[in-house]
Amino acid sequence: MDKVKLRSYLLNALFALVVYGILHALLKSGVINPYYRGVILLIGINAIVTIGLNLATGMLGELCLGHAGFMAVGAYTSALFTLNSGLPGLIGLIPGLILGGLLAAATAALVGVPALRLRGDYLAIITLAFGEIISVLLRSFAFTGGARGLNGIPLLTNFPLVYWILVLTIVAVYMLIRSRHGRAILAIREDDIAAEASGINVTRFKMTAFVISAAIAGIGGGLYAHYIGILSPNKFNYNYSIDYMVMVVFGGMGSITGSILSAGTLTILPELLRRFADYRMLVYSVLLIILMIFKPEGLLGQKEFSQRFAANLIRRLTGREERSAASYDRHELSVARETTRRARERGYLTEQGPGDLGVGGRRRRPEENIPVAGTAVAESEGRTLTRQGLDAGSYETAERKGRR
Amino acid sequence: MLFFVQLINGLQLGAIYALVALGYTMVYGIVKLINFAHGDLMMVGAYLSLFLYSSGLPLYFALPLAIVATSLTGVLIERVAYRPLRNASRLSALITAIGISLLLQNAFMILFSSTPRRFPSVSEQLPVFVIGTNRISFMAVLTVLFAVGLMLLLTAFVHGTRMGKAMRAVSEDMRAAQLMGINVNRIISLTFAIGSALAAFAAILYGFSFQQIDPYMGAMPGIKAFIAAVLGGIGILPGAMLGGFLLGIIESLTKAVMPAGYTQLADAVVFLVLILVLLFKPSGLLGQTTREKV
Amino acid sequence: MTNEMQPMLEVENLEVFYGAIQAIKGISFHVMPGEIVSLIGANGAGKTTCLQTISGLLHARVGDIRYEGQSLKRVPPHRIVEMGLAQVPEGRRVFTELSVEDNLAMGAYTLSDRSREAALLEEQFRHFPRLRERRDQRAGTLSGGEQQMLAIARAMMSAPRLLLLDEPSMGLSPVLTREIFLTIRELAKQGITILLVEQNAAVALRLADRAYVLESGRLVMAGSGRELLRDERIREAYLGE
Repeated sequence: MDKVKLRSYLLNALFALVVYGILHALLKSGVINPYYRGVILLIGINAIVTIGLNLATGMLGELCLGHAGFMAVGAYTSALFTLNSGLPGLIGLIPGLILGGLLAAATAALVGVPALRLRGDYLAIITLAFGEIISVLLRSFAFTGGARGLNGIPLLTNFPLVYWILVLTIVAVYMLIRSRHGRAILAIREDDIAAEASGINVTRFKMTAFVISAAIAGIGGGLYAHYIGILSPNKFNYNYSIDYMVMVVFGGMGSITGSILSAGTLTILPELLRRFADYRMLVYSVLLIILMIFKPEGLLGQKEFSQRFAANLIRRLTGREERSAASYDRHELSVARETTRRARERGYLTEQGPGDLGVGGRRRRPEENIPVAGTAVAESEGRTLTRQGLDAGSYETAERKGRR
Repeated sequence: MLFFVQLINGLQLGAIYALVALGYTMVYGIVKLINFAHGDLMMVGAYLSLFLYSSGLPLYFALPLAIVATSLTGVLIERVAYRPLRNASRLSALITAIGISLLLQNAFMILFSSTPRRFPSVSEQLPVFVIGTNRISFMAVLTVLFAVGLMLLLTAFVHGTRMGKAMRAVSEDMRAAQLMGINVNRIISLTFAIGSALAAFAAILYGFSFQQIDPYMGAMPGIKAFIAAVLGGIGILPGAMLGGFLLGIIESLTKAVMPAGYTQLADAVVFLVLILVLLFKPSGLLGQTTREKV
Repeated sequence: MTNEMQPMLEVENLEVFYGAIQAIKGISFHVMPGEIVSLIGANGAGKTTCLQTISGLLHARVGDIRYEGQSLKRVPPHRIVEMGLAQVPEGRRVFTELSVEDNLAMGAYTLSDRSREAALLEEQFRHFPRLRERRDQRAGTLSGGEQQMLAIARAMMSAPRLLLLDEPSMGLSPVLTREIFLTIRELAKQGITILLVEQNAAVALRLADRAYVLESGRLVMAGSGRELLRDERIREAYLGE
């Protein structure tokens, strides 16, 4: 590991510890009263689920309308585990959470396999249906307590647990998205056809992201069960899924920072505006429509709060300009988007005779005459871009990596 | 004979799914968007019918007016919310559709409250068929006939008229259609108009059949109609009809065999149908192997 | 100024972007009435972009396009067809689900006169007897060459004065290519002005009265077809000699 990376990891760890220390001290000393303590826990849980959903929707680009269902799976599983295992405290809760996460992941795989093999928006409809069905099932089974649900779940969810699971979630999702798998996932969001043409196993990466996303929701659900103490099948309905959807979209499609901020805002606001509770979903719906028409990437877009961002901010404030990491990423992405878009534009250019001319007026050399139309086009487009002095960007990177 | 009654019930329910599914499949065929708000347009149609009827208009006048108004609502939604996003990512368009669906549900919830309203009844005035020991309401027969009739009319329109052919052309290749001088925006508006009118028809038949309407009445039938469209083959008009009827029958029969208290599990069976279709015949019963337009 | 003197199509300082990427970097050219003009260039040079902008499918960021003296800049695609400017798109793009006859009917979508449409249909069938034989068949079942003929006939159904053709030889055998190009020459003889985009430079230059060479979004050469055919640089880069 190089020094810069090590330093950055240490800084991040330090940052996480300091924030923890401050919040913990405030909670312990009683500066934050029990009501706000509850709100803070709920924000943490919502942030975990939102980040998970962001992985599927913001980063992978698949609309998922059943996250409340995956939460329900996790919540019921972990609650049943702590209620029946006889293990005390966290010793019972942690395996319960893991089990809940795993079962949510397994359910997601079951739902995802039929939908994600196909191109199109089948995941949206299948998760929507799943979300509706899961509450029907929970109501019908005896072991889930039927319509009455589960009561007397020990209130084991505490601040350190939520905080560190949140940190773990952030680290896991961040690492995933920065890895080469993550590049592939982002490439699929930009253009799944081009991604497939460049050798990325689209179905596999979609499945991976979706299943992880559901697992995180399951763990979030488990935390929620042991925070609230009672579970009712009606709780995990469509509107609950939409709440998280709104948090993702509002914060920024693909931004972890945005997810945390919007989970915070949209958890506190309804608490403050209880009088207008009836209007909450109405406001959300209008918010969604307006955001999509005018700012579809959400408030933060793909921006993250990072050390580089902070450093750049300081530099800019002190007058030393430098292109920020965020803007570099955006540039890279816009190039990738263009590359793939144009590849698709020309996608129907499939039949190319042997007399076809290569890029730049040369006759295409035989080894350049790649039989898969999409690939050939994508590559030549990429090269055109490079010739124009632009970095062909993440798309090409993803493409090369996908081939390995 | 219980089977026979359930079959009729299933056909009646299926006819309603089928009408909603026709609209779904048309809109999907043209703009490649799952219009999540489509089920809620049915709810809008139901409330408009009830509202116009309660305001004193005679039924034969109130209902057509409600259908036209619902149709215009659909056109308006496309114009205001979907058209600006035509070249945006699919995800943005889908989220907007969800937004519209929520907007309709919650706006109507606030306007009319979530308590179910009673829909006017016409069945007392209609004859009842008695076959053996079973009574079959004329409403059931009428519902099925209406749905089949509208589907046939729509098929004739799409295959026999210039506008209908243009619709098919736009659905296959929007850019090439533009090069033919087809005003794509107008065709898309027309599609939303027809689809929404069909949803209003479905709403009226739903109201007469089940007597109760509420702001969320469109949600579940909306999902099921989409599943019906996928089951029959998305984009195929007779497919939507077939899918709708099949789904209605499956649901009724499942409800009949489930022990009391578990009838809601029929919804889970419908969901299972979706999973099976996507696994084994994603192009639907009447669909050919999928042509991926790249 | 008489109509004969005025260019039928004038493209002036055109710049087209895909997001941040510039596909056309300021090109100007014109087409006189009755001419066959070829636009040749490699894959990705911007030829198709150029035609799509003329037809109104894409929008120019800078520059203007005038057709018979009238700017096309804010005219929607369907109005442009009504004005007598038709395009045979790259890759044919026939409506595979529609019958041959319905495809042709779509070509005449802008016409309101039914008897005129019938006459035009008869004319296309006379030109392409194969299409008459297959009038009730789905267009998707036609061979590549037949589809190309259908695409040309379909565009002719709007009775255009200016016809844009995008890579009509794409994917066709040399024999079929020859047949298509003979058809294009035939259309020109009937007085239809033609703007042809081609990668097959040899054929396109032989057919054209005048030609332009497009490279990476810029026009790098212009001249009569014969001049360009003789040009050293063209021979090397595009004719592979």
